[in-house]
Amino acid sequence: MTVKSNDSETSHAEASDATPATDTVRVEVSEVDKTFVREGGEEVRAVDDINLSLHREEILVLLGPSGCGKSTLLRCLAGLEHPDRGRITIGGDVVFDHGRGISLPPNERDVNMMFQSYALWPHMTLESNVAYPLRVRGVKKSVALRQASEYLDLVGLTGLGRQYAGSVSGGQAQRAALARTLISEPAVALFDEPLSNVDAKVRARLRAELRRLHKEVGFTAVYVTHDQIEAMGVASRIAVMREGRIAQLGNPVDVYETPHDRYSAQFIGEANLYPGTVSSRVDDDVVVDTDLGPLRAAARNFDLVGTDPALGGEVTLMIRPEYIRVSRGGDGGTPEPNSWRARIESSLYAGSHTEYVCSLEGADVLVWEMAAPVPLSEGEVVTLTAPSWAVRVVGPR
Amino acid sequence: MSSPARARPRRRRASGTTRVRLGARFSAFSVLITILVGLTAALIAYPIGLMSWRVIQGGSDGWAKLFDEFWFGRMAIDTTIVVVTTSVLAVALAALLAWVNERTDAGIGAVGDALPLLPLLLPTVATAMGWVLLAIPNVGFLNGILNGLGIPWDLNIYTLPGLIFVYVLVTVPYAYLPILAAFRTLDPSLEEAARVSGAGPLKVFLTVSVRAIAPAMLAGLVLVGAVTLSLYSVPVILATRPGIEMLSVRIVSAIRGRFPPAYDIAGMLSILLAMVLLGLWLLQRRSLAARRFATVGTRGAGGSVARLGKWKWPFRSVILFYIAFSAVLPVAALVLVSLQTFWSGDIIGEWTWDNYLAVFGRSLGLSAVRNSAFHALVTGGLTVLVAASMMIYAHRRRSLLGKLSQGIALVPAAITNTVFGVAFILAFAGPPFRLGGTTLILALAFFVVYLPYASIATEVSVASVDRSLEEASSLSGATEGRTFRRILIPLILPGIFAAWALVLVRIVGDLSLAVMLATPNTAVVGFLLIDVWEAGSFGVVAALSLIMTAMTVPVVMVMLWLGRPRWKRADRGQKRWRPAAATEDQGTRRETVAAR
Repeated sequence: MTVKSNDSETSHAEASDATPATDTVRVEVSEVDKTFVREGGEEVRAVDDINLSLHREEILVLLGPSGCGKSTLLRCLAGLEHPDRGRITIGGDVVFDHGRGISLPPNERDVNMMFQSYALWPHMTLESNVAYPLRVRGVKKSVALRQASEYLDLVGLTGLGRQYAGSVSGGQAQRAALARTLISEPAVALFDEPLSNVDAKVRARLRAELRRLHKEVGFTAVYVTHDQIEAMGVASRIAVMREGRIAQLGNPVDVYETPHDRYSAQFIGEANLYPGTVSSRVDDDVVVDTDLGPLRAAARNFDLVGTDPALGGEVTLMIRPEYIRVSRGGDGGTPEPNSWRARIESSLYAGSHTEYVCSLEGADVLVWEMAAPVPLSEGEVVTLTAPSWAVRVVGPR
Repeated sequence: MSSPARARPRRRRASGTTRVRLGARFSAFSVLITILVGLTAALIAYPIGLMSWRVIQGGSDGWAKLFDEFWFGRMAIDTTIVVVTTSVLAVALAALLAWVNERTDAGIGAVGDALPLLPLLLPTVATAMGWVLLAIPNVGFLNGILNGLGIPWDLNIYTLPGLIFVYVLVTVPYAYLPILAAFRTLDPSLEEAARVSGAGPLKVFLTVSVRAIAPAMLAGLVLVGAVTLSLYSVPVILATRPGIEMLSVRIVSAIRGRFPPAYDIAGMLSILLAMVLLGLWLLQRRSLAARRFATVGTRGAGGSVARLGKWKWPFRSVILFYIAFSAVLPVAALVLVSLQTFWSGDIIGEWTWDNYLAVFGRSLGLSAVRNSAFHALVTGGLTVLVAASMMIYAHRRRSLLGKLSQGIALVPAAITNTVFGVAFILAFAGPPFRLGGTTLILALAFFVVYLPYASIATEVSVASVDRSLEEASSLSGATEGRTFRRILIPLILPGIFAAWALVLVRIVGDLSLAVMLATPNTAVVGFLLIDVWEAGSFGVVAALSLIMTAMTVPVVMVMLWLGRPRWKRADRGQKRWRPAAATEDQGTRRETVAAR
């Protein structure tokens, strides 16, 4: 009953991706397109020329607002949607190849999926739900049930195996669905916004649980979400998606610290964005004239995104609000570089930090003060400072 | 791909096979559905078309002849009076019952919610016959009791009010269902707002609740009207004697009561009935579209209930009286009379099994029971299976065939059994089919007439199975066949049993198709009952009505029990099998789960 993928396919897949250790590639997506036709004939490119590869034990998060095509891409991997073009390889098997007319149904792909609705079968107990993928593969009932109860233990549902799926809470159903998704150790596990139906506390707990499981079991996954905190929490790599395309792909730190464009910068976290013109160079910094006045950005930051700091070049700079220091008073001593006098327009105490909106003549600045037992009050005049390394470049204006 | 040492079973796949997409899958099912849709369409279109053609050929002369019949004018007037009065009264009573159950503290819980549906599980002829025994002049049981109490009333069921009374009893469930549903989705804050503004419970009911559920009441009105127009069993027992002319009775008697049968008259009357029914459906659709959902709030129901105080018991007794009148008293009367040699209106007489022996002692009686059981189980079962297949297909495939299979299954709802009876005789009884007097013609008629009931009932359960449940199975590696067997079928099976129960009651209790299409050779209980009724033997008719009831009630109980399997009882009231969105009342749930 074992199946061997034919080797020519595998070698082809390996050849197309030269960089990493190729035998660990679990998913390979190349040039995949999917267009929907809306009622009325309008065409919507849900997935637009996507290329991706995913390695063993990686969790790739597809992050984007609703309608960006992330779920469609996931469903293409699952075999629930059929792309219009391209090629998909999963676990070494070609599961979709438009040119060769191959499109395997979901049950012949080495995947499993956790649904947003969990999709637990209400007429089965949690135990049978979890054992189902094994039973389908011809594993003996007693063996499958034993393994199912081990997985239920693993996700913290010890003793609930005999409950019907309809009689447990949302959080419990979620854990059971997770166990069912992982029990057959698929080449890739697919997650379709699995945490969006529970409240924030439970979500945080399950996120931690998911990371623990990832350490213990070591699964490979594609994970769809629109929540950037969730994405940061579970991802090995994040693909920020926009209108069917990947806007940026990288590890969480890179995606947050050096976004490649305004879209990624604004979608993940808060960002102060200042378009301007490169005016001069001072030491290792590049000076850019913006609405805030001259802003100094580390020259390295230009290299990171591959932008040329040529004089007169138009660029957009970004400063994360937590990298701006705020200090009381603005007596107007020697003006340091990247330092401004501003007035606090509004302040919002959020516990872990305090958020200020400060106004200068030309622009607003959003600032997060991390340790602020005594928040500054509205109307107060303050000095804002940003180190030049924290002034990032997010491409041309 | 040799490396990862994963000691785990791989997915089964024939080596090297690469399935070409779409198309091929589901195709066997598509072929089956195409055949079913084709056959069903033919079974509807051919007889109805042929009948219409005959009527058109008859031309205006035919119509003139019909209008000249001495009974035509009376029939139009009587039928209109009965239908309109019944609809209004039934909807009013249904609204009151639904309000008491759903919105006041006089309700009797989940059991009370279901009680007004009880008459749906009784053959209507049993209720009608029971009321003959209860309220026939002089000797009716109730008259006996009134006499005993010294009250000088003499109830007479053989009157226009008597007829309407029984009609209302049997049609209330049809209005109760949509109205109850409307109350459940109605935003309770509307009523709460009125109550906070100082209105008493009754005032709230009259000024807010009733208006908010108006669309559902309108739907109930049309449905009750249609059922009243179509019903044959009630008027054949109750309307003939006082000389009230009902359309459905005239249709049947044009064929059964005469020799040679007046097919032209039956045909014209059927067309007339079908047109009125069609008009009613269109009216309902339009008015529902016009003011839809103006009332339904986002907040779920189950809010506060009105405290009725000293009015609690009077309102609660409305439910109890309704159950007593529609089910308990008629069945009790049937039991008493069927066990007596001679019915004199006394409760205590001479006990005997003679009436039952009269049924079972004859080969006709035995075979009638046997045939009815056959149709209920086999014909009814097949009807439900066909309906379920068509509905599954319609919901899984948004193709033209999918839409067709949904449409075809519901079309016969707009036509009715008497109409189909006439059309089937015209189309299939003679050459070239020569099905007259066979079991098959009766089975086909039952199939077409009850297909919509079965379809509506199964569609609800098919639609409530979320797509993701099947996708999850497919992604777990299950083939389409396995997903169908292990996931879809178990989930909709309860709905299938419930639909079967509904259809079964109708088939066993049917009179009109039975008298038009059955013969002594293919007799069913309904056929025999009318035969005996015309011969005037109360005791045997009572016995037969009870036999009908006895055939349905246990089977219905079993089926409803099967319709509520363990996993459904374990479920905490999630209406839709989409396990999502279980809001986190985790704490309490955890505790209860752990406590078990």
